[in-house]
Amino acid sequence: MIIFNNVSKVFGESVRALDNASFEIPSGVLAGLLGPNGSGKTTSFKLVLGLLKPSSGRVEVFGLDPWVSEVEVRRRVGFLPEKPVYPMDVSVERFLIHIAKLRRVSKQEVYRITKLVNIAHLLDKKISALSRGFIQRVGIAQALIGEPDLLLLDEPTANLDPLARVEILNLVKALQKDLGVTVVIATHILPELQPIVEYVVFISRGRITDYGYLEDLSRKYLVETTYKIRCFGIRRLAKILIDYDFVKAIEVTDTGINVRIDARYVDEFLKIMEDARRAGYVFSVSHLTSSLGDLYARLASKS
Amino acid sequence: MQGLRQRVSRILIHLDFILSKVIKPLAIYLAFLSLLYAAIAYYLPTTWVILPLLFLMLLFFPLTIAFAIEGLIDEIVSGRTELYLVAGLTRTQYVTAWIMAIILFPIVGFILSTTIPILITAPDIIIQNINLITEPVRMSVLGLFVTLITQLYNNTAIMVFVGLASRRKGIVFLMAIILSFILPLAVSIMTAFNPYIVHLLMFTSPLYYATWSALPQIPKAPLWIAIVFSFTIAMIFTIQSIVLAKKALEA
Repeated sequence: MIIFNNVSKVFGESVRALDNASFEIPSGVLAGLLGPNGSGKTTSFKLVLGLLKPSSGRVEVFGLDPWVSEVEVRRRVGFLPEKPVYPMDVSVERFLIHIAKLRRVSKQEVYRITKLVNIAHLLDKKISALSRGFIQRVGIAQALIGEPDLLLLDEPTANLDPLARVEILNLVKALQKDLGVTVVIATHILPELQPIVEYVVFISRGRITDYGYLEDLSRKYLVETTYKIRCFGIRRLAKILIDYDFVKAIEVTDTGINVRIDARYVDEFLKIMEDARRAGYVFSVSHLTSSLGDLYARLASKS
Repeated sequence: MQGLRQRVSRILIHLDFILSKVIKPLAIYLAFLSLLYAAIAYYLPTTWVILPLLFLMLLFFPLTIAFAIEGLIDEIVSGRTELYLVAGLTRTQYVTAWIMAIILFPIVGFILSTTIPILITAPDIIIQNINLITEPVRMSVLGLFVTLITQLYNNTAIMVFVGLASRRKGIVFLMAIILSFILPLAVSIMTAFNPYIVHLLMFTSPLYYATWSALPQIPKAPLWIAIVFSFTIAMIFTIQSIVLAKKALEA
């Protein structure tokens, strides 16, 4: 869906925001574009949207060059900017309907989306009268107008209180699941993204340090990984697993067990689970998450 | 053809949105102007009474425009522009909508709010025989309108350019004050010492130039030259503003 091929972006004569960046983001994933402030995340988004022209290299979105086919690409992309830059002196309804008109979408679509992101009761309020959490929901609503195939969220939890952060991330996760849209979240706050992302692109000082599915990267860089097991006899299986040295933690849930394991023994663990599945004790084993912090530290030491 | 209609429709949709935000000071100004003209034209249908009022209103027009330009600068500096570009506007459509909101709409509003009341209350004032080429500095109402509108366009275009080049709201207001107060005043004072200095007004203030030219001791040039000069300068600044705005959206 998104392909960067040796993309560089230089501002002025010396500010190199992106330096030979190459990565891919497949469709249908919830991906994280992760890196510290000033690493080139926002520049990457602007290149995807065709708001900036690459100094060199090639950007492809939906198989199109966004700088050349800006209207076609943007029609299929929703964007939440990092700063709440919305017109504060207009009502939520007026603003969202204006975006809908520009996207050639009906008012009914706007009302549907406001229900989806839980701001339907705020339509007549001026944006300036809303809390930061609700302004962020307005931002997500405007990004969803027109049923985009790709949603770019730039620091969606920046400057929000802890409760609002959790709410926004849960909302994003639910939207991705319900609407089947590809979501890319740019952030420098790794831990809060860990439970929801399945694909990551690490960026540092304009360079891509690595990218791929979180499960693959955690195996590649030997990072502790959590697997979700759906099974019969939850407590019995938990007792068996706890005896293995490579099992670092076990959490029992309503439907199964979440097991955190030492990445060096992933193959051994999966073999045991496969045997258990054949024996009929285990229904499924799936990758839940891996420590983004550890992964980032490994990549930083490598680079 | 349908593509063209869609592009124009997008410009108009965004123009409507911009106007809903920036129109308040201009609407108040135009409503006041309209009432004033209707009253004056009805009770005192003579051009010499309207002339001082024209100048009076002229002083406030750039200030109302400065509020609108402030909105454009605010959008570009804050990055709000990106919201509209992502929603489907092209850079050209975005800039066109703003230029229409800042330059075209206020001037059309100005023309309508001044001519309609006069046409209703005292139409004979406007419908006079005027030839700007053969009677260069004649103070007919129609002649004054052409000159006035050229000056408004000129001043607005310069303000938009300065605003986009500096990206500072304060400078736009300063420019409004310079163009409507300080520059005509300074040139007028200097003209008292050297009458030829009055020709400087041809570049930015053709209406003031027309007024000064009416005095017998001032060297005269045909008024249409002042109108053409000032209009050409306005066009140059408008084109440069469009180039600057588009560049700002690409950075």
